[in-house]
Amino acid sequence: MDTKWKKSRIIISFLAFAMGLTILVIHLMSAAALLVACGEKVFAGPLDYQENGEFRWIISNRLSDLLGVATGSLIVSADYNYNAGMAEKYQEQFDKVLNDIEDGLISDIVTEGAAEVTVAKLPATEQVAGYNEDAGRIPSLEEFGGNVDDYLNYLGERQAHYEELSAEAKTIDGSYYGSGSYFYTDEKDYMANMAKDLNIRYAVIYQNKLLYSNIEAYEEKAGEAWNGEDYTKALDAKAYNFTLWFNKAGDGKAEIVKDGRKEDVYGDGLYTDASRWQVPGYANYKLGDKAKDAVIFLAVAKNPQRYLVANEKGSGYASYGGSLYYLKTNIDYLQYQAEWTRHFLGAAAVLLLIAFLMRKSRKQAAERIGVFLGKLCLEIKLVLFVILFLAVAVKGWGAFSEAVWYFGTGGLGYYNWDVYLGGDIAWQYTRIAMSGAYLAIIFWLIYLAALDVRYNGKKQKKPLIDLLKTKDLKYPIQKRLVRRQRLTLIAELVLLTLFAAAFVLYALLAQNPDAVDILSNEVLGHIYETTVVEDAAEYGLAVSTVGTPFLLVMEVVFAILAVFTALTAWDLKKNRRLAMDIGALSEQILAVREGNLTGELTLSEDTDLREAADNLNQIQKGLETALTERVNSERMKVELVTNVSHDIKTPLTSIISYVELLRQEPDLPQHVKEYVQILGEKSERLKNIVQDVFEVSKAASGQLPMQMEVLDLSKLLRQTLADMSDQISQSTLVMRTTIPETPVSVLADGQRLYRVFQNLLQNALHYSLEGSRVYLTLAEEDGQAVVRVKNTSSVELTNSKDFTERFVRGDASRTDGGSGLGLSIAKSFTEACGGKLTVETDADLFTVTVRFDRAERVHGREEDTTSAAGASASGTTGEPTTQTEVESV
Amino acid sequence: MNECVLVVDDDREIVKAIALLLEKEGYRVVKAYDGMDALRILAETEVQLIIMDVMMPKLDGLSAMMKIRERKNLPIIVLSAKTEDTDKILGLSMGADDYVAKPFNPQELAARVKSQLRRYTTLGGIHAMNEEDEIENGRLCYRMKERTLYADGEPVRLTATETKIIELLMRNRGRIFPAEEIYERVWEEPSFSPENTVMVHIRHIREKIELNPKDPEYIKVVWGIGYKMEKK
Repeated sequence: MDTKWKKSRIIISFLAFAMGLTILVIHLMSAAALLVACGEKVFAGPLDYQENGEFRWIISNRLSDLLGVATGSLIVSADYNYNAGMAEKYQEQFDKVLNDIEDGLISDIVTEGAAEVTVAKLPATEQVAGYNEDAGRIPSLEEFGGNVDDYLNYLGERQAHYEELSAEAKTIDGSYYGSGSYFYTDEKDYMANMAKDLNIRYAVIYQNKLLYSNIEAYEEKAGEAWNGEDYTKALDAKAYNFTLWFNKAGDGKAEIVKDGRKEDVYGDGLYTDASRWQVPGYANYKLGDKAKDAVIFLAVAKNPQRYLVANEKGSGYASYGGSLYYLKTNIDYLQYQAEWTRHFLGAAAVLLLIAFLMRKSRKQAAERIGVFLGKLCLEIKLVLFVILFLAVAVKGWGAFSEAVWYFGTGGLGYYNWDVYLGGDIAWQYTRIAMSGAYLAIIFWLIYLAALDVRYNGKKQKKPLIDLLKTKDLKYPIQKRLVRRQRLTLIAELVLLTLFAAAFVLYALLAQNPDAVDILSNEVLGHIYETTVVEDAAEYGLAVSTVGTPFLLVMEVVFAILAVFTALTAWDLKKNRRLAMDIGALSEQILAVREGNLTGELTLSEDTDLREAADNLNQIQKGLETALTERVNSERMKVELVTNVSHDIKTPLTSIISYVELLRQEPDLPQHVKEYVQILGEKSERLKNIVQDVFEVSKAASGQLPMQMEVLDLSKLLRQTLADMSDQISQSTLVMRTTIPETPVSVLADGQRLYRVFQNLLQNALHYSLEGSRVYLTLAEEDGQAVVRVKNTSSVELTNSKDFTERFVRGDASRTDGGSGLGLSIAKSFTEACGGKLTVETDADLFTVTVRFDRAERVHGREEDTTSAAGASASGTTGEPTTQTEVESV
Repeated sequence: MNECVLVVDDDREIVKAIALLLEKEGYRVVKAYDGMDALRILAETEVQLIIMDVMMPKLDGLSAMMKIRERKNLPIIVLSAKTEDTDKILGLSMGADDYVAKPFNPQELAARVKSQLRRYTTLGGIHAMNEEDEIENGRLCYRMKERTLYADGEPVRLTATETKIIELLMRNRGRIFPAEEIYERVWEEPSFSPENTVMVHIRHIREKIELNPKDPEYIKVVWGIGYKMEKK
């Protein structure tokens, strides 16, 4: 129960977080669009369509048109952006007008004939959101899910629909889309058209004579005198809540009444860019002399209607009338969207609050997702990320760049009157909302990537990358094995990727004309330059008919390439394993060489190196057995020696004791006393031999306890010489020593090292030619301390003898003195101290060389003694490093 | 006089030889051939010193020694054929006063018996006489006012130089002196190759104070560094 709740908590918290954030991103985008378009008041409450720049622009334009009509100069005011369906004879004039408008001039256009204008009232669209379909925009193929047949059907129906519409409106020319300009032949023509306006009622008075009016009560009274009648009274104040009188009082100023309230038209009386109304009457923007006698009345409907004015005579133009209607519907639409955006943002806030309150569970959810992502291979993740990112980028690029453009130009084309005539604000808004959705997708992609990096970091499963890298391989042969195949695989992968990219691109292009535009213009411009097809329908057709066999070939090639790549990867994987096995084998050989005989090499069953590994394991096992046996026999030897020496010691004790008792007998004859003396000497020698055998066997088996310290070898030699000075002076030999005064530090066990040199010197004293010289030298060679003992042997030396072997002596017949273990002990002890002892013979010259690595003179005891020596010389006592205070004598 | 020494060893000949040697020196000797034997005799007889082998049947020397130490603090000399340092340390730490390795020099053993007995009988009671000018170290005691070294309570005849060396070493027991320092402090002149001179004097001192001069217990050579008086 608990775990179940915990699980649902985790799911709920993350869903809240994900939904909240997604909604936030999308609707922040549309909120931004709405804000830029309408300001914050769009969120506040109902917007008055008459309260914006566009409305004022239409009204001021209409006013100036009517002023022109009143004074007799024709004003051009029409859609001049499209010229696709325009009759040829107007082309020239149109261009002229266009140029003049661009030059800031207003030109009079004189044409022949009178216009016959009819008007058809269109039904208002039921749904605000749905009206864009009728708004003259051609939907893209994409909106039909790429289904070309449906799309063509739609286009056909649409054509029929407009033909019907046009017939009803009595227009001759049925071509609707591609419609364009309409020009009036003269002011009557213009006014005949304007009279059909269902949303703006007007009256044009010149020199107190009513010229034109479409107010029902006054339509027939054109040409009659105007006696200052207020036309407001002829209209329903509720239906026409906005009225404008211009120059009614003859002051050249406009008076606007909205919902019964007079509006401040001129502000401080000076016309600037910031002024609300662009109408004459400012101090710096006055009415011309000709217009001084003109009086204009305008009344605007509170709820504008939708209607169509068609002109059968002109260019085949069928114009939707009622830009005010579109202005209002657009504003209502924005209002409607603002309301929803507000709801959505509120929902997002609630969801994010929930996510925040359950942040612990949310973190767990993130962790779980991280763990799940960790289970996927890095390669798959990378490919998915790139594909999704590119797809979103390509798909969303159009919407996104449009959104940016809308923002850049003031949001939803607010000041672009094309929007109102085209009625396409919903499309723009949808595009912006879509770009928000794409942004959200990209956000989530990045979020997932960040989660992956955070929870999995460098511990990514990456079989393919692992396959390619050689860093983890130690031996050159391994690297070579992998590298040989790596290039092939990389080439194949690159080729495969290129194919896949082309494939995806092709699919995308076939589906998305936006992508065609973008890619053709920006990416593939130079490739597809000649074949770019602008029309979505045509392009869709082209793709579906021409592309199929090509696509099939592409798929086959792709599949073959994929198979080849897989084969190479598999092969490389095998080779890699072989490389690893070779590496393991080499390591094992190295380990065996270094004497590590435990742990056998285990390679997988089916490896090519199975036999080699088995053989190596056999060798290793054999070596190990041999070594164990040797160690065991060595241990047994030591035990034997220990036991034997112990067993000899006990009777020896008795022998020595009774010899002593014999020696103390007072009445022994002289010759018996001599015998006792000999017994004493021999038993003493036996005792020494036993001790030596014991020690040498221990040293040889490495069981001798050592106390290593830094000591001065020159001092040790001098001490040894001093210790043996009696023996030396008793012999016939002369000792020649060369020992430096400066300390020569080595790391060794002092007691053992003393035994080494004691044995060497005793050896020299025993076996030297009588009266000859023994040389003892200490020198430094290559950072090593080298001691040499040289003496001339009294007997002839045989070269083949190893004098350091146990019980080997220069003269086999010699029975006096040592045990025959002297050199053997010296060698064992030297080696136990980390030194090297070598014996050389040259004729009768016997040389023993002992080498030690020099040690750093930093260890405690030696420093103590040297510093204490310095202190004593200067008469002071004790150095702080000395443990006991030195008391002077 | 006539102190009683208990000799314990499973080797009857060795016991007999030791007994003969000690009787010649004027001691009374009681014999035992295993640890249990020794404990029984100890309960019956007044004994001043025990010489005991380690490896014995029934009850080995170390165990017997632990039992004895529960009640008595008489000196015990341990005999052993084991000569490794660890065996020696083990024996001494379990209550032995001295440790003699087999095969031993009978005269050395006799000297050790004498030394232990002197310290036990004559010095045992008057241990408190540790005055300011007196430096004690095991068997040795140096009286600074008298400028005399006592070993086992008996004055040792030393030359003036030897006395100076002994005073330096006794005052700084445990500290290692290089030969140069000893020379400079004792002879009070700069040293030049003092190793031989110092060594000769030290050997002479050893012969006078050590029980076995070849295996000295008090004045030791620290090879490659110097000399020191072992702190007991």
